Amino acid sequence: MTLASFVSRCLLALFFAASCTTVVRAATYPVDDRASTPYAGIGKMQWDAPTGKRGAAPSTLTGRIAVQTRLDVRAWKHRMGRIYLTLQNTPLGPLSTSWTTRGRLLPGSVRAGERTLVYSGPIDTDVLEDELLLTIKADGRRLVRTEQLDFSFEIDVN
Amino acid sequence: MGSGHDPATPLRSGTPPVNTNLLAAPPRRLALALLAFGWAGIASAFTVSLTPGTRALYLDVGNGSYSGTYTSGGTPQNNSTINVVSVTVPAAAVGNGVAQAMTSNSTQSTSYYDGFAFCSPPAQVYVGGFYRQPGLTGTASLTATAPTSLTNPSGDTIPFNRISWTSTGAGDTGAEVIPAGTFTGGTQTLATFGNNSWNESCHTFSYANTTTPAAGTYTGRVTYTLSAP
Repeated sequence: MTLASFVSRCLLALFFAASCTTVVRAATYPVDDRASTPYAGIGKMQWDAPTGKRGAAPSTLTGRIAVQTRLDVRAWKHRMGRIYLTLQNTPLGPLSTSWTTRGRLLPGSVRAGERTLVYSGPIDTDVLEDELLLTIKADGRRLVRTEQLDFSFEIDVN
Repeated sequence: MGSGHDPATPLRSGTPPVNTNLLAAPPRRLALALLAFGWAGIASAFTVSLTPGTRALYLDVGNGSYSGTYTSGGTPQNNSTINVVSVTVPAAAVGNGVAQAMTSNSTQSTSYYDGFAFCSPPAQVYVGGFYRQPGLTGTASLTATAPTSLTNPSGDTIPFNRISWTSTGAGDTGAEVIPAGTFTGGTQTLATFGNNSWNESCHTFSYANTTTPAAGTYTGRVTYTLSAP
């Protein structure tokens, strides 16, 4: 191996190492929430009371569900992270999902196909726990059969 | 419930995630890592099932019952009252062709939609209700079924088509949703209720008084029905 070849290989290795460090830092990881538990009475949707013009009944439905959320974050302990709640796209069209919490996670709202920040800061525990009370509003004209909403959590690690 | 992700497997990043150790690894290891990445990207965590709204019909003719109002999220109640609409034609006026206004024993003035004072009983009879079901399509049909004739205890008759009604409502403009008409004797459609809508009108009945029947009290019952497929 010539000196030039050796230097070239070292530079290449350094380049890859530097690139990889940047990639890992900016990466988004799925968060294991298998210990989370939605309470009974899931997704019971009720017609909304009308507002506005007399005789115009609303076509929107509202449902509420509490989820005991347990996020396994031990893989990122002692690091800074931003955790997001994501809602997969649905065939239900415009859908409004908002939630309140008991304070460990952030309240907020999310639209289908998007994500919303629920935690930002140091990961100082193995499991992040909170109770999310979800309020879901759907278009009753589109909700003609039982449909599923898929939520997930993901983390951006610094 | 849960995804079973490998927490070390990133979902996305600025560029595809690469483990530095893989650079020196055989191609098989790299392929496995890329497959794991693809699988992790489509998994989801908890799922919420949404059920469609319940299908509902409600019809109120004359006196009805409701806990609260529709706009406040109230619940329709059953009311077994059968209201009576009547007129006594003075002997001197029988058959003179001057329509006789009828009156009722209804006391229903407010709309259960929102508690608004919509009708003026006893002259006006409230007719209203709602229909809704999940989906974009679907209508409900409001019909009235009357016998061919009113009858008295002696068996004399007056054709039911001598009775008509006008339609209005406090604050209403334009066409009424349950319009004016005349009983045909038989089943007739009065209105079609669109999906997810509340419809109401106040009906004022009259007797045509164009014939001279035998003296007596003539009665007949009309049944209103709201139905949907």
